Amino acid sequence: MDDFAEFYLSGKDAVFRAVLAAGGDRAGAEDAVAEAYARACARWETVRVHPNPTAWVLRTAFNFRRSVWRRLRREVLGDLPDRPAAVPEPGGGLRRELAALPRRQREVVALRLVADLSVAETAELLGIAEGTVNSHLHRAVQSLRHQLEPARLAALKPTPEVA
Amino acid sequence: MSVDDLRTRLSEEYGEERFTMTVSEIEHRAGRGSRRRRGAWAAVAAATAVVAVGWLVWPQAPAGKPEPPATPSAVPTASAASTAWRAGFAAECDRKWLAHDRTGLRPADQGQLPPLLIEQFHGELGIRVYGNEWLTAECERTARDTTVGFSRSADNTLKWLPDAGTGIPYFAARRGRATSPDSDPQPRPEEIAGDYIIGRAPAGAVKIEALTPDGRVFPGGIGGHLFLVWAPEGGLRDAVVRADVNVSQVLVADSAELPGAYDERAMDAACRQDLATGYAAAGRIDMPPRRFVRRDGQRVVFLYGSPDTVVACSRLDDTISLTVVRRVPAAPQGWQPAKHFHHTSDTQGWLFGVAPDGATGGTLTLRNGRKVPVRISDGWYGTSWTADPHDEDDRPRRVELIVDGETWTVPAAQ
Repeated sequence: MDDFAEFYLSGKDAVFRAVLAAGGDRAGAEDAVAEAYARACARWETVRVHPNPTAWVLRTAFNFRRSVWRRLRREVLGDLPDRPAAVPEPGGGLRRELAALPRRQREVVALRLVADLSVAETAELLGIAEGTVNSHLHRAVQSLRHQLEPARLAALKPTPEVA
Repeated sequence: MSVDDLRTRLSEEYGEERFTMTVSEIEHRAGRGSRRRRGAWAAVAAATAVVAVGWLVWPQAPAGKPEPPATPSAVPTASAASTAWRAGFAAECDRKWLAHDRTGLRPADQGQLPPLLIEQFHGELGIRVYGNEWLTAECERTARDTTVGFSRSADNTLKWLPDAGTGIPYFAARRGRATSPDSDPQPRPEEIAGDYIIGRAPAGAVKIEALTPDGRVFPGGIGGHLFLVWAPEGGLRDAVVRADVNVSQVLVADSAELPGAYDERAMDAACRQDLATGYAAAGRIDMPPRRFVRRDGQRVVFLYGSPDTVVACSRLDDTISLTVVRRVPAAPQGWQPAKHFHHTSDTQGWLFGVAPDGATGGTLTLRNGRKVPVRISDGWYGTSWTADPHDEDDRPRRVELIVDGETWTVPAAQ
C-alpha cells in the first residue's frame, strides 16, 4: 500500500477498537492511536514496506499506552508488574470485565479477537511466545466466562410475579 | 463461552467505535518535512490528549502576565497589486474552514473558526492564525492555493497547547525547499509552500524569534496566547525558537531521537550533543553541571544549572527534548536567590532553582494546598510531584526554604 491516506482510512477504526479494548481510558486510547499513525506518517517510506504496517501501528500504539501506564503505576499505584487497568472503561459489562483482566491478557484479546491478528503476529508484536499467546487467551476466556455468564443467566431468569 | 463467542461479543461491543481524526490532522501532527530531528509535532505529540508537553516558563513577569496585543499582530508588506485579494482573504478562510469535516471537534468549534489572533502578509502570500484553548487553525495563502489546517487534542475535552508551566510548546510545518534537497536549488514559485511555527507564548514573553543554522533570524508575532513565526519562502528547518522573558531567554528546538533502553551515560551524552548541535543557531551554550535527575517509568529528566544557564533535558519514548533558559547578557549578574522554573507534563511536575546559602531543605506548596518536600543539592533546590496538567490547582504556589532555622518564602509564580 503506497498511499498513507488510504492506509490510515482503511485501518484507523480497527486499530482504535483494539487499543480501546486493550484497556485504559478513551482519551488515552485516542491519543495513542493518533500518535502511532502520526509516527507512521512521518516514517511512511519505511512503514509502507513493512511486512505488516497495521501491526507496526498497533505496536507503536501499545508501546505508547504502556509508557503511560508505567508512569501511572510508578507514581500512583506503585510499580506493580501486571494489574488490571487503573481506570476501567465505563459502559457495558464486557468492557468492565475486560478492563479487570491483567494487562497482557487484555492485549492478547485485543490483538487476536479485535484486531484479528494471527497467533504468530500477536506473539511477535508483544514479544512473547506463541504458546504464551494461546495461554493468555485461554485464561482470558475462562475469566470472562466466569464473570459474564452468571449475569447473562440471571438476565434470562423470569421476573417473579408480584401479587 | 468459546473464543468465537467472545470474538462475536467484542465485535458487538466495539463495532460502533470510530476514530474521528482526519488524514490531514494526522499528517499535521506528523510534522511533515522533518528529517534529522524529529518534527516539532513529535515534541508535542506525546502529550496531546493527555497534555501538550509543558515547557519552561521561567522567570515569569513579577507583575503577572502582560496583556496580549489588543489586535492581531501583523507584518504588512503590502503593494498595490497585492492588496486586492486581501479583502477577501478572511472570507476565503471561512469558506475553506466550512469545507472541512469538523464533526470531530467540540460542538462549540464546529460552526466557525476560533478568534483570529495573528495575521501576516508577504506580497501575494498571507497567513491567518486562529485559536482558542482547544483548537488552533491556520489559513495560509500560498502560491498555489488557500488552505486551512487545524490542530487539537485527540480528546476534545482537553486543552490544546495549554500553559503547562515555563516553556514553549509548539508545532511546526516545514514544507519549504528543504523537503526537496535534490531538486533545483532555485525553487519555482509553485514549489514554495512556506514554513511556520505556531506555539504557546510563554507568560511574560515580549519577543519571540526563530534562529536558523544559517544565521537568519525570523521574527515572530504574538497574538493572544499564541505566537507565529512565518517563513513564507521556507527556511525554518532546524530552527531554534527563542523567547525573551523578563531578564532571560527561553530556547527550545525540535526533539532528537535517542532509541534504545535508558542508559544514564548515553542520555547525558545525547543531551550534551543536542545542546551543541541542535541549539547551535543560538550561539555556543556550554552545558552546566547536572543538578538533579528525575526518573519515572520511561520519562527521565536531567536538570542542569549554572549561574547563567539552566537546561532541562527530558527523555520520553526514544526522544530527548531540551529547554534552555539563559540570562540575557545585559541582565544583572547572577540569578536572584531561589529563582526557579517548573514544568508540568502528563503526570509529573518538577521545579528547581538556586537555593540561598545555608538552605537545608524546604517545602513546595501547590495551589490546592498539597505540600511536596524540596531537596537541596550543591546549592540548588529541586522537587517533583505527581501532577494533573489540566488541573490549574496542581501548579506550584510557593516554595519555602529553611535557612538557619528561618523560612524563606518564594512565590512559585515569580
